[in-house]
Amino acid sequence: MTPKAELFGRIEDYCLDLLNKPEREEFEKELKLNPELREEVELQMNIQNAILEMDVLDLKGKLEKIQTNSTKNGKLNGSFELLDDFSEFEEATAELTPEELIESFESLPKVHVYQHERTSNENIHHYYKEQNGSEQVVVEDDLNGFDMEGLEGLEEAILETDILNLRETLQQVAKSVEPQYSVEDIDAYLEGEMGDDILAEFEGELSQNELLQSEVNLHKELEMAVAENDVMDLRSELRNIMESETSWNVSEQAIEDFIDGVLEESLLEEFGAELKENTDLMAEVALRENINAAVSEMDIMGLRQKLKDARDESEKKEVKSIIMPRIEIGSTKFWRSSVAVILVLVGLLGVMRMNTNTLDNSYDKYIESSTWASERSVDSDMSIIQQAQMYYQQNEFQKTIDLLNNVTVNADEQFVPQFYKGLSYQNLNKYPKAVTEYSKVIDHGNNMFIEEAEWYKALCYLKMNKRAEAKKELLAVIDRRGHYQKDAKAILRKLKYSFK
Amino acid sequence: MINYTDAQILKGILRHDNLILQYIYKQYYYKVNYFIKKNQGSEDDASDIFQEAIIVIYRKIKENDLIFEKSSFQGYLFSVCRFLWLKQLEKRRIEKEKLNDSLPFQEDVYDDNLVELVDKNQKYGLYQKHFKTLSTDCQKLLQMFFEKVPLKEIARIMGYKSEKYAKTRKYKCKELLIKRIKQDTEFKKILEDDT
Repeated sequence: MTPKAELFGRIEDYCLDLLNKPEREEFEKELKLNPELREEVELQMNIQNAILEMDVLDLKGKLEKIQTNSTKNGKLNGSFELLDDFSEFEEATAELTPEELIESFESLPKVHVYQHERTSNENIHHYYKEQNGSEQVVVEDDLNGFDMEGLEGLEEAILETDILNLRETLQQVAKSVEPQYSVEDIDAYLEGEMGDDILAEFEGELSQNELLQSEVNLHKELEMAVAENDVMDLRSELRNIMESETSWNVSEQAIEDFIDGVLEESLLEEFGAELKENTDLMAEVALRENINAAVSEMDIMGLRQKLKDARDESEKKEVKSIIMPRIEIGSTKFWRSSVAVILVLVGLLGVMRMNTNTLDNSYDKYIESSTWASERSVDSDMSIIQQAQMYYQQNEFQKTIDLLNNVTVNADEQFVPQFYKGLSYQNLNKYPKAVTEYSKVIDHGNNMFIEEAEWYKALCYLKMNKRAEAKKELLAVIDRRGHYQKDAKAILRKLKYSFK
Repeated sequence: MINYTDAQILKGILRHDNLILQYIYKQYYYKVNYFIKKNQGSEDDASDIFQEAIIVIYRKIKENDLIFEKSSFQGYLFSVCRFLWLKQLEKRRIEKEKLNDSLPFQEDVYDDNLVELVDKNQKYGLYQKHFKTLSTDCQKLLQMFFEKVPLKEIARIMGYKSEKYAKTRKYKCKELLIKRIKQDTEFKKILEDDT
């Protein structure tokens, strides 16, 4: 191993380009392999570059000379001779007005310097003198042939990583150190339970220690803040309102009328003023206009239907799918590989027209039959399930129901046929029966059909014109924050005023 | 929509009347939202400011310190919202001079009393926010202590074996709460403002 002194010598020689060719090559080889050496060389280079900044050092030297001369000339005041004629200014205490002071030549800098002079007995003003003194020595040394000796201390200081680390650790310790008094002590003090012997000491400390004072204050304030139940309740009520309520100050009817261009003249101005500033209202109006536009695109809907049929044909469906977990019941392995249900609601909100007739028409117009994924199977009665699936895909809903009525599955697996019976009844427009089946699925409580069941149940209720029940189901769907959340919210919004 | 008088609104806030609170929200929120968004704020900022303005007004009403002679509820609410947002801008080191003043406000609302109340509300709001993050048990326990419920009773209600344990639990909860508050950068800013 190379001794450290020798190593530093080699580094220095390398930096100063004093190594011969073989030595240099050997050194560079080592440099490639040794990261510590690289760091060392880099440091040396930087120091060297700093020293070689001749122009900066020259300037420093000249400034130093000027400063030394001016110091020799008399006083060391750092005032750039501004105070030279300050003796004439001595009467500037009471007689001179501020205007006179300002008008006098360079008066403001002089006043500033004068203030410095007056306060020069403060420690902070002596500091620059000390600095000047010490700097003078260093600069003189530096200028003396750029002796490296002057920088030895710097190098050592930089290399004192242990000291640097210790300093950092001490700072961390200071930050993390526990307060002198614990929560328990402060509580005991505030509750008057502190023993007399500690009390005097605590109070003594409290009168002088600002940190302890703020700690005690925090405890006091905390007690009052936590007792503010009413404020906390009000805050949470407001939060609820802001989350659940719409922020516009116009009725749903007014929005519809505005879109249809039939809003009364008297309301139109007010509506327009709010619409200009209320971004939520702007978004609502835009959403409704888009829905209306989408619903009236009969050609696009027809095309979409054809595309969907084509997709169904090739069995490459992009569908909302629900994959059931593998359930083992006794010895029977119950596989839910996948269920794909498509109930495409085109122009969903078209369903939600206010009168029953429109609602019926819209529902019939925009709801599509659900389809059943081909790979679904139930070990316990696989053939029947497969057959039911076939009927379902052929729109033979009654046959599907009849078959599913006869399927033998364990009590815990009943929700599967129940859900598909629900869909089949819905397709047959037997909404109360569909609702009954969906309810069974929901009541089961632990299966992945629940959200879908709630959603379809809500649609059935809408079809049956049972709006309160529909609202309940839609709220349940929203609570789940699942796939249908947005649709459910949109329907609720649309129907809101009719529920009141 | 029904229109409420200022007196009805103030009474409604005091009683936490849901209908009145909804009315206030629908009637005034969008203007505050517009003002804040125009002045470098977000939707979240707007809802926070609106909410805290109502809380400040509630504190005022509780102290019997809110009478509208020259002003109105709307003017007062907007003035408080504006004031709270100015404070936020100051905190975020954003220039206030270029404020886009779309809210009608009343300069005379800005007295020392309001400044003090807003500061208190900010501080207490922060404490309460962290209090709400404690476990339900801790919240209940601390609240009972602060309401001076006897230790024996607290131990009974909470199902603790001894009063000593109840006390130890309380210290732990309080310690946790204080730690969370102190770690909050918002708290550090409040301390800086105080000094």
